Amino acid sequence: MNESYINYSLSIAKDGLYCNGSKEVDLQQEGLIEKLDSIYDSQIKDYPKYYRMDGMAKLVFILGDLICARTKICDDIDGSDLAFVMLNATGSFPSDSIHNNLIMDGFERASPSNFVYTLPNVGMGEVCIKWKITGEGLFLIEDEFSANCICEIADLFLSQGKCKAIVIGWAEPTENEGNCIFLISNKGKGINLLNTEKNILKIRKNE
Amino acid sequence: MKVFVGAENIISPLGNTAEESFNNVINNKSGVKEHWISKQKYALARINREEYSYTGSFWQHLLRSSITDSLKKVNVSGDITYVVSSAKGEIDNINKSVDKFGLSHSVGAVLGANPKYFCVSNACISGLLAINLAYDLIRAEKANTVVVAGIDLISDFVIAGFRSLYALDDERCKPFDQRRKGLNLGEGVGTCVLSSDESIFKETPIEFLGGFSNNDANHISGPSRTGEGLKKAVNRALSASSITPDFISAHGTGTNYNDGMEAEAFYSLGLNSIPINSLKPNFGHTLGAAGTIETIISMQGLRNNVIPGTLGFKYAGTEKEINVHQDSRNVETESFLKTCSGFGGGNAAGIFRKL
Repeated sequence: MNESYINYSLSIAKDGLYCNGSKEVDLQQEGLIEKLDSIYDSQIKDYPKYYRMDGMAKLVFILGDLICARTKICDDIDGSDLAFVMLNATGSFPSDSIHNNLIMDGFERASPSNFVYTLPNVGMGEVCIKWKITGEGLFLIEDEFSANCICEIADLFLSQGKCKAIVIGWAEPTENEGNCIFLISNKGKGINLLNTEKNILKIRKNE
Repeated sequence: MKVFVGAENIISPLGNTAEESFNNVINNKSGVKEHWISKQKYALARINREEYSYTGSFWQHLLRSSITDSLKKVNVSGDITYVVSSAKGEIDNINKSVDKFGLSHSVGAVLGANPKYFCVSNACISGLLAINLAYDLIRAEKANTVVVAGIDLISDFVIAGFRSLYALDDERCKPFDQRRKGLNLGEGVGTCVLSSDESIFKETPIEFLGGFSNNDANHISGPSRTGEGLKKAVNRALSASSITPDFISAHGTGTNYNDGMEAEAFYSLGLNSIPINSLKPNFGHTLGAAGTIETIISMQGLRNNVIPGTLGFKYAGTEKEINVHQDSRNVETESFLKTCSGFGGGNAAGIFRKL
């Protein structure tokens, strides 16, 4: 494995938004969407399309937008050199359910604006639009959260020269804690990726 | 390190092997047929399930059958890594009570607990992304042999969804043609094996020279008018391989915007004189399987020195003129470029060369 570093990490826990391990925003809301809306209202505010997104896209957008804003990575490297990879277990399940319930009463009940969100990678497209990220993109489905997969893909993309830095994270809209995102590269300060699996799990649990 | 790809299989409305589907393509056969659902006409490329004996999930049956056929064409000792791509997986399970919902669980049910596998679900470019991922895993020496399978089935879920977007043609789709009105949904599975070891393949494999993906950063459900992401991905694939392909297997869905965008991208890259095809009139749009099925048909094209045509193409219908032809042509071919574009702004490109 190459020398890679977690330059920045961000996770949404039950009680708050953590950046590099420190709680930055207190979140006492019960549900994930309420937490996300609260983060948007206090930290982002400048992307009105946010309110039209489904829960999954909101989650990916909040994670992706915050890490780009906090790290200013898109000022440092060209958008085509930044890879963006997300993972989860249930894909676009919440919007899948809505679409499925609508069409039970006839195909004509389907909502095009909802159907668009029945693809898990669509929220990544929103982040790409806002931050002009045009590099490698990938959405992977795993059985459950996998620090190993996050490390392996980050190392793979960096070692194969697919990108200069990678934003990679876990976005599971059916869980209201444990969603997290990382900026990983071969440069800069941060946690050495050699012990990353352990570190990623720690960051996720805010230990 | 060279990466080889071969041992291919396709199960589609056009056959149960790659060879059968390929022969049907070059004989101008289409799996797209008229279907009536709730008194409305749809043109769909459906597999006749009654021709298959299976119990349980048809999706899992197809995936298992296709992988089994591919594995018969290689001699592998040692671990195999799998990459399975699907846009919607077993979406019909949403109406059933299943233990666990999700693509990874469906794939695990087919492969069992032991093998290492990745599941790609990145809309219409999933299949080619899966092949690209396999290439990277092999080059990074994280895997020796990777089986890539792309699979999607037609469901009420996707029919109703694409209908709501007014994206469906109720007749056979007409990619790049003036008369194009939309896409046809299709279904199937395409499997191939990638390895750095040429000797595992019982039949001479094809060399995969690498693939890339780029985002348009323009719109979540429509392509960039100028094909920015596609141009970037194709450019990277061309630069990395240093070759000019003999033909291009494009995405060519038959929708106005997609085909116009692709023509713009290929034209501006100076690839407008290279033969370009779309296999959607044969297979329909197989979503997460499109990248693998269409790559495999093109690999068969290399093996047989045939450039497949675009079935039914008649009147050039894109603003920028590109070299689309109706009939398959028997010509010596050495290499091809495969491209895919999809929702979320994703584009992928890969280059393949005959040994």
